[in-house]
Amino acid sequence: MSKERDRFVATAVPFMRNVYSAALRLSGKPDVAEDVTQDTYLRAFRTFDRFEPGTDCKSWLLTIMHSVLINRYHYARRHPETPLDTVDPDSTALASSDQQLAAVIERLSAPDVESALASLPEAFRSAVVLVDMEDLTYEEAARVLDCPVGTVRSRLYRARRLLFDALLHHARRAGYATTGEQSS
Amino acid sequence: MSPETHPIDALVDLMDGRLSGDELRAVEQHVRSCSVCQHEIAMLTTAKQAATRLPTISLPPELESRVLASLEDADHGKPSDAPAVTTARTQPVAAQAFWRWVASIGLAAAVLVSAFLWLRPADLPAAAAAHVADYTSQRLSMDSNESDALRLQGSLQSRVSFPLRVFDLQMMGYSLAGGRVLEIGNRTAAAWVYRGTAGWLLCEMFLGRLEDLPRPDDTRVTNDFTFYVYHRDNGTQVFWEEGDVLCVLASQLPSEDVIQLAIAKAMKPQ
Repeated sequence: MSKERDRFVATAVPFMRNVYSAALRLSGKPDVAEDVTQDTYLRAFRTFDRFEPGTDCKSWLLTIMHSVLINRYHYARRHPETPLDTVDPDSTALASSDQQLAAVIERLSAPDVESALASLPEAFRSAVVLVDMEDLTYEEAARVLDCPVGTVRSRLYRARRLLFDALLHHARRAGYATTGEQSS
Repeated sequence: MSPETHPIDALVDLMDGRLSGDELRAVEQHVRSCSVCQHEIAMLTTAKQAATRLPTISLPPELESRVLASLEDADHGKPSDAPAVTTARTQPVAAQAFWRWVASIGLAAAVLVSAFLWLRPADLPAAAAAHVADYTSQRLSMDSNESDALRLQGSLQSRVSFPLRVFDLQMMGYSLAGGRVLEIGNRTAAAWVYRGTAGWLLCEMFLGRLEDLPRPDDTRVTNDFTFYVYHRDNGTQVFWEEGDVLCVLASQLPSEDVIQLAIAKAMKPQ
C-alpha cells in the first residue's frame, strides 16, 4: 500500500458510516447510497492532496458526497424556498400541552421517524441530515449545500416544522392519543 | 423586540446555541413573554430531538472492503512504495523446446501488450490537448462551420446518443466556429470550437465520469460541480460532469480564463 493511500485510509475511512448514512437518507435508495459512497471515496482519494490536515474531514467528504449525488445521480435539487416571514408561527395550534405531545412523539419507533424524515422535500431533509444528524455547523452545511448560511437556517426551520407535522401524522397512525392537537 | 413580531430565524439560532450577548438576551426576553414563540420552540425542539435520536445507519457488509479495493485499483496508476517485482529465474531446457517456448511467450506477450494498450485508460486530458493543437495547426478540421449554438447542437445531437448542450459564449467574446463528431480515448464525442480575439477554445462532450480521468493538477469545487484541471501540452483542460456526460473545455488561452469559462457554463442536466 502506498504511503499516501495509507494516510488517506487512516484519515477518511473512519467517516464511511457518516457518508453512507447521509447518502442513504438523502437518496432513499441503498444501492445508490453504496455507489455514491464508493464514488465519494474514489474522488476524495484523487484529490486528497487538496485536503488540509487538521480541517474537518467529515465535512469535506460530505461535500464531495453531495456533489456526486447531484451530478451523477441527478438527485433532485429543488429549492422550495419559503421566506421565513411568510410562515405563520400560529399555524399549528395545539390543544394538548407541548410536553404531552413531545412525549407522544418520543414513543415513535425509529422506522416511523425515518419515514417522517424521508417525507420531507430534499432541500429541507438535507439540512436536517447535515446539521441535526451529522453535527455539521451551519457554515459547514452551507459549504456542502453550496448556499448561504441564512438559507441553511431557513431550511432548518422549515424542515423541523415539516418534520414535526410528519411525526404527528405518524403518531396518529400509530394510535397514540393526540386529540385536537392540530388545526392548521 | 415587539411582542407582535416573532423572530423565527432567531428562534432557530437560539435553540442551536448560536446567539450571544445582547441578541441572546433580547430573544430570551421576548420568548419568556411570548407563548407563540415558546410553543414554536417546543415543536422545533421535539422534531430536532427525534432526528438526533436516530441511530447512525450501519454500513452494508462488503461496502468497506469494496471501497478499499477500488482505492487500491485507483492507486495502481500512481508511484508505489512497494519494491519492484524481480524476474523469476528460468530452468535450463533443450534448445528446440527452448525456442518454441520463447516463440510462444513472445506471442503471448504481444497479445497481452496489445490488449493492455487497447484496454488501458486513455489519457483524456492529453487527447483533448492534442485536439486543440491539431485544430490550431489545421490538422483537425470541423465538419460544419455553423455559428448558431442551437442549430449546431441540433446537427451534432442527431449523431450522438447522449444529451448534448452547445453553450453560447458570445457574451464572453467568443463566437462559435463550427463542430464535428470525433473520437477521444476510443469514445465518441461531440466537439465544437469557439473563436476569440486571443485564441481558440475547444469544447467536447462524451459519455464518461471524472473517475475515468487521471489525477488532476488542480481541482475546483463550486456550485455543486467538481472541476478537474489539467495542464497538458502548454494548454489547460478543464473537465466536469453533467449527469452521465463528461465535458471538457480545452485551450491554450490563459489557464484561469479557461477555468472560469468552464465554471460559468457548467449546468445541471434538466
